Amino acid sequence: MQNITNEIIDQTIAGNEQAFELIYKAYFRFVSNVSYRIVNTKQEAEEVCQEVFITIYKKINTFRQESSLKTWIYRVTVNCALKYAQNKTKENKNMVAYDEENPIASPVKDVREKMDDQANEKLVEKLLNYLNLEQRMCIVLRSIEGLSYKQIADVLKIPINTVRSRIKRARQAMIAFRQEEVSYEL
Amino acid sequence: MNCKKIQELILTDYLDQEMPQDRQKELETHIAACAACAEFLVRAKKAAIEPLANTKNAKLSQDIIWSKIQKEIQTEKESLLDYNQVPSFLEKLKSIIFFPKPRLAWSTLAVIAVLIIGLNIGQEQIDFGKNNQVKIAAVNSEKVVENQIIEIEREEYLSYLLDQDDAYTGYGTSLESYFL
Repeated sequence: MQNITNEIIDQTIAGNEQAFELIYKAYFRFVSNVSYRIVNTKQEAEEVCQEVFITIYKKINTFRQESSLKTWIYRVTVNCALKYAQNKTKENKNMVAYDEENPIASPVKDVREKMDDQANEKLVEKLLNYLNLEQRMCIVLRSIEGLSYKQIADVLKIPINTVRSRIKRARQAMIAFRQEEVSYEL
Repeated sequence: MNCKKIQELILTDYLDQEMPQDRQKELETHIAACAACAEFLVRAKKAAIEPLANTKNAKLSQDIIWSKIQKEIQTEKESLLDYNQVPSFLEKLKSIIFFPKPRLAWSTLAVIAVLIIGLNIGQEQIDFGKNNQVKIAAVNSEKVVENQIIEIEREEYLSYLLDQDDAYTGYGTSLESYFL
């Protein structure tokens, strides 16, 4: 990931699209992954992605450089994804399943490995759908994106112990959900 | 520490490597000696850690999304440009009264001023006339109301009298008819 300097930020504020493209490329992976894990479908994740970067472009002049750009962008992503998912939940109480076509990157591999990936994706989909939005966001940020508790607390603007408690409850729920399956494997 | 607390720590700080080393060693010593906590750790890893650790990146098209974002930015810029290009009221006025020669402009201005003054005087006269009419109408309406009140009072008085007259039946004597 390219290091985004203050100069790039200033150029983006001035309306330089090339500078903004550098920010886009640097954060696309995070934004697209978090969006996809929160809203479930490829099409919806694309909409969230678009909204996140448009928000960044429009509001980057309000970004105070005393805090990290990374945290700010993560926060914008989380807010957009949560807002989208909440509106979606209002529309349809039941979570929509992932796309029929699996949108997860799968370079040419042997069939067995590919099938394992797809099975794992189905499992992750089920596990995440089993959690509430708050727990889901904490788990995505921690277990998939690898953020520390402190970073999650900063991004979500919640106390670090709330992060702990959400992660604990989420994992308890996941263990309960997979109890039989894991017992069988053991 | 009891097993319940140990298992809570396993689910959070231990699995996420957020513990200080000395606390971690303490916890691992307990797990090594406690079969229930050891089994819990294995279950937690299998159920809640491994599936999420093996996820792949979402395969969203970076280029397609970028082109959509560019389009939206462009639309935004164009709408902003259109907004800036809309002439202000003063500019519109300027274009309407634009004269190539200053002498012509001044003379037109003078004509407009004379017209405005003339119109104002005329308007004042009209207003004066209108005001008078309004005053007369008000006086007239007041008079009408007064007359109505007088009429009502009169009616009441008359009916009072007539009622009294009706109520009085008398005895029908010749003495009464002489005095009344």
